Amino acid sequence: MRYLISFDTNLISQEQASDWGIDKVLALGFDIKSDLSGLPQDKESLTIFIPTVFDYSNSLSYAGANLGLRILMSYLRDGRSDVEIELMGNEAKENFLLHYDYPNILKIPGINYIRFNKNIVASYKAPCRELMKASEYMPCLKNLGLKLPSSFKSTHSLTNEWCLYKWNSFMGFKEDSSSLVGRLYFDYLITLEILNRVKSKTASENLNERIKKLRSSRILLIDDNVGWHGFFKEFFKDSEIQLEAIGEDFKKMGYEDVLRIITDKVDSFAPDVILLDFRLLEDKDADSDFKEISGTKILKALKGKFDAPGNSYGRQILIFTATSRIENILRLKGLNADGFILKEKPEYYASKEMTKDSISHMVRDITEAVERAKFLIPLNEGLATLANSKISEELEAIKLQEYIKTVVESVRLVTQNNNLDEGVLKLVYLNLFAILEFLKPSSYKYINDFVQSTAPNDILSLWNNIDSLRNSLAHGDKLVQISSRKEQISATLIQNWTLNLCYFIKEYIERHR
Amino acid sequence: MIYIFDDRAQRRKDNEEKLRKYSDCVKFMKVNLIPGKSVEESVIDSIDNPECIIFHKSYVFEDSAVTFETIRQLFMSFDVPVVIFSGGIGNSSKGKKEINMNADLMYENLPYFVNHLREKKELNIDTLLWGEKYELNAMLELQNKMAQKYFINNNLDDEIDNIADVTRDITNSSRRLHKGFGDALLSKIQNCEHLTWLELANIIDNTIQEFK
Repeated sequence: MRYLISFDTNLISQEQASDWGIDKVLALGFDIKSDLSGLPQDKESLTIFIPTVFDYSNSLSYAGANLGLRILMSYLRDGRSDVEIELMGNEAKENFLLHYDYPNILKIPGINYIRFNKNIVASYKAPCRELMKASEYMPCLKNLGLKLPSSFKSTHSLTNEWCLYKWNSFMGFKEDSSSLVGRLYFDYLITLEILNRVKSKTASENLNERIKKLRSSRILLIDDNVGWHGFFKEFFKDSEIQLEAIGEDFKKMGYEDVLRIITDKVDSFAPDVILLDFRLLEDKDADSDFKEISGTKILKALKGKFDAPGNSYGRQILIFTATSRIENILRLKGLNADGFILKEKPEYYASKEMTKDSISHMVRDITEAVERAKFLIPLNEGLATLANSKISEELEAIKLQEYIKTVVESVRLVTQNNNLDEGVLKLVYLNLFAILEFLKPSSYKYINDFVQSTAPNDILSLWNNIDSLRNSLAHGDKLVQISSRKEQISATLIQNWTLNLCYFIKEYIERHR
Repeated sequence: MIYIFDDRAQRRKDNEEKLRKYSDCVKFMKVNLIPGKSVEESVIDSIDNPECIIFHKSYVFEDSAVTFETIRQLFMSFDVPVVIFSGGIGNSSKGKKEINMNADLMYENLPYFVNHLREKKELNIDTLLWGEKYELNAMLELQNKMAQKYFINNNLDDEIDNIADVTRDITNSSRRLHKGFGDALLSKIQNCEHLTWLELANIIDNTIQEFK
């Protein structure tokens, strides 16, 4: 079947089809829409004639040639490679190749260029060629040299939609490309994605296994794009993660309302981990200064600082962003962001490997964030209680209060900025233990009795060996023992001891109120 | 004066800086409502003798009662080209008065547009749409129009019997173009005793290559 796409039915109409040797004239915008719905689906081989230019005042845009590429790719996505695209131009082929942005178009099997002329079209027969598999077109498509047009560089929403599409596709979830199609570059990316799909199955299965193993916890997603709500619900559906998502209606709101909704949700849901979109208010954030971007302000409000913590200091906040600026990442880290989930950018499309790595990093970071949260949330609650304890005069209240404040701030700083490995955890434990030691001179008997009678073994053994501990610390012994055990102790055990110690000190202070 | 209504603070700031040397003919504006005045009055009062109005499609108005359509209609009433720009617009489109184009592209080509206005005292929207390639686009436009009128339905090997019509069309269509282009084209045509449609197409092709 031979079709011709007409951008002006006054120029070529169905009545003239036979003069042009065409079976059917397809009117652009009526028979064929911009999303390519209406493309012929005949089972026999197809030849489609398309003018290279539709709008003469925009000749250099070569909208027809671009449409030809999109049509070819659309058929390739359906696994068809028996479609011939005949581009009809008013200039010599050599000039077309000089003016069109993607001259390698004519190296793609099945795409040819002829003069836009009735007699030439009527007598035209496409050259014979051996049909290739759709997947074999990938090198030719890559050879076009399509790049994200500079005119899309600042379009945050397209980056977001592309990443959403790609991650859904990789994980085998239902994807929606409606916001991307119609743009040549994204049609190209989606085609590569589909032609490449089979290879990703095993990789996504491995990721699914890791997601299933995530520790039971609560995750709050804050994102104005509901597409991401759907993605993460599907992502965690076979795990023990309880996910809640907010932000759908944020676009219509001001920052103050958004912050109020978020803090209310954090209070009621008490998430372990928060996934926070960096630009929640698309229009307002698009060109705001770093300090004014919604993600920056919300992060500051939730986390606060080590000496003035917000109510989510211990919660893990991972920033979900497409930012490519190192400066932004460093500044967000400085504001106590606990990690980043970096969205893939359409201009850096390389292969499935990049998607696999991106999602794999995300699973790793969420796993770590959950683990940290399980310790840091109760620790920070404990620290807050210690810092706010009312201390009896008997315990030299002012001095002790000051000392506790110093220790608490130091612990907050150390835990926020470091991996919670054995060395850091020992440091935290010893920091807190120093509060007990601080009490010794003032009320030695009192505290000694309290420790001896009520302390768990871990605290008691350290208490009884405090002199040797002090010596090892003073002499820089890296293997400082905080336990009488000779074998290596696990990070989880030290974490438990730390929490115990926190509450033990609090109990001691409260008893002497 | 070219008025640019852009509500994106950072973008406006960056481009205001870049376009500082054109401040005599480019002015960045905001839609500010004047107390006691209607939207129309407020906007009209803020614009003086515009030559072109450039307006962000997704402009967020402080007063939610003001809509894009209200402002668009208002700007259209000025009877000057109205350029609507947005990051989400992929392909430019040029109507009689309204032009739609991508935001980055608009700012990229704006210096060229303004320089053209200053040097030639002529507001040429094509220079905003195409930057330095605007002449090539205009030559291709002429070629495509000629092709539509003469080449598409004719047998390309036939001799042209109405060459006077063709040369008249070329003369009319090439007025907006580089003067040498029209002259060179006509001179080549006039040097041929007999000319087929295909030969004419080749002459146009070659001349475009010389002048692009």
